[in-house]
Amino acid sequence: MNALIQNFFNSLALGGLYALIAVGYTMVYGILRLINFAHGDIFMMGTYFAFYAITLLLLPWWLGFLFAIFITGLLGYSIEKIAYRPLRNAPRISSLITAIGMSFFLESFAVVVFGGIPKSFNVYPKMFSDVIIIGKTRIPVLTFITIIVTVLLFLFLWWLLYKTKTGLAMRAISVDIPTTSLMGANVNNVISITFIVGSSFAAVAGILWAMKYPQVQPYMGFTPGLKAFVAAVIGGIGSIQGAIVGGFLLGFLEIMLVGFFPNLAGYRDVFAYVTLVIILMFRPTGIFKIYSEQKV
Amino acid sequence: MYEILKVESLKVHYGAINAIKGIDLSVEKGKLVTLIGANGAGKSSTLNAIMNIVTSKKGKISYKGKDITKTRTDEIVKNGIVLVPEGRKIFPNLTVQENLMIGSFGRKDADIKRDFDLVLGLFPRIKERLKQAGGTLSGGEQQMLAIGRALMGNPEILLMDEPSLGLAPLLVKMVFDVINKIKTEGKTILLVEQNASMALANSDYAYVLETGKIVLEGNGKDLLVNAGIRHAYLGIN
Repeated sequence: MNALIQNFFNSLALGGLYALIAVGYTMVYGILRLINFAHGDIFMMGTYFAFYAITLLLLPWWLGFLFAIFITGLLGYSIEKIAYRPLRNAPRISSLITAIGMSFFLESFAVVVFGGIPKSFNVYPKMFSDVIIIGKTRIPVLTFITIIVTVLLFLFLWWLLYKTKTGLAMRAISVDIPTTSLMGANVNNVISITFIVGSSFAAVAGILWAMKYPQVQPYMGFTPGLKAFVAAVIGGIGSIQGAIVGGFLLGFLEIMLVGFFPNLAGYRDVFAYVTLVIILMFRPTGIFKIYSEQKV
Repeated sequence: MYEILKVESLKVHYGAINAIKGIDLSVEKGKLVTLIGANGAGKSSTLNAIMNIVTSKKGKISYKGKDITKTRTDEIVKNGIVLVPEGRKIFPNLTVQENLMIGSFGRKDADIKRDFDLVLGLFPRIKERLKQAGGTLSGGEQQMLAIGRALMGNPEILLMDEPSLGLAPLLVKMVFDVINKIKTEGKTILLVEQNASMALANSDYAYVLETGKIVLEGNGKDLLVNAGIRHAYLGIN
């Protein structure tokens, strides 16, 4: 029972992280029909920005984290503007290849500038690694923080999408870019905001991730990025609810599998991809299908 | 009279295909001007060029004496030119109310609520369906919504691309009633139509477009009795 409660909270935290990253994939896909393969590396850059903001710029940890989130948002904005915007009307395969190239570029940049040796991410207050003991259940403080931050960010996202004009334009753009510009909306700005939000979310996930597995290295974005992408596809890429559900689903499957069958622990990654294959076999569009037909 | 919109020697090409081969037209303030012509004559291209959705173009487009040939689409909208696009292009995933509200995206003035009530007054059918997804409306309702959405932008000049397309005759009449009502409220309208008889009967001035060129122009009612027009567009010998 204790193990179950512990696993439940761990699943929520891990699922939340996957969902945070997956939202970035799905928002960009929903608007531009582009799979932003660099998203996992934006996640990685976010952790480095946090690391250096605290160790090099000597900012207090909370300011360092906020600074990193802001800079990562700026990075996402620049990537869209420099790499993807010029290709917006080009064949889709061109932007896809550009996204893969951007992923390689960011990884190589990190190797050259930050160095390939993993760095210890010991830049956060020690109380985060404390363990709360309720009865016989032991849950790290960080797990609670992760869950709370995730919930707050999703509430923010819901508010942005459904209560603001920008969110209205984001939802409109996802079906029809030219018609949205006919409404008097500057579509470039709306797309920029989408990249900023997605990248900032990735930075938050990256920082939480680096505290959980306390080190940073240039390829750390690959696996979480790929799994979050799987989560987005399972949920139905393009759908934000789908990305969130897919993220949590993957988190639960992974933790519970390892929790109940410890000798299968080595297969946890395989399990995520097997889930993807099974879901795609029965629901090729994922759990939530995005609106694709338009009545004429 | 005051020419609010002026198009001079406009040319549009899509790759090697010349869709518009140099046309001139002007729209006077408060008038209903129509562009008629067959499929592929370049009617929609003209409107899309004015809105700068089509950018591969030459010539000059001016609005209130200001050159807007290269102005960004959303800026053109904010300046008071709004297009009701061909095929309605309402947002199926947004509610009817959201579809209307997004029409006022570029506005910052305080009269948005007034225009919202005005649009609902004009289209009682839309008012009953505010919470429904736009995609669930019938074709006629979607056309009403598309016109209402454009009016939410508080345009000075409204461009309409085939608003009667695919509608039953009764609904076509309704659309033209609405167009006339909008006109009496002081708005200028540039209308593109295939339904030549309806369009000509209602317009102050009309241009006939054939394979990217203007072949005839004149008062709507004069063109309606023109033998060539009757033969080519109305099917009357």
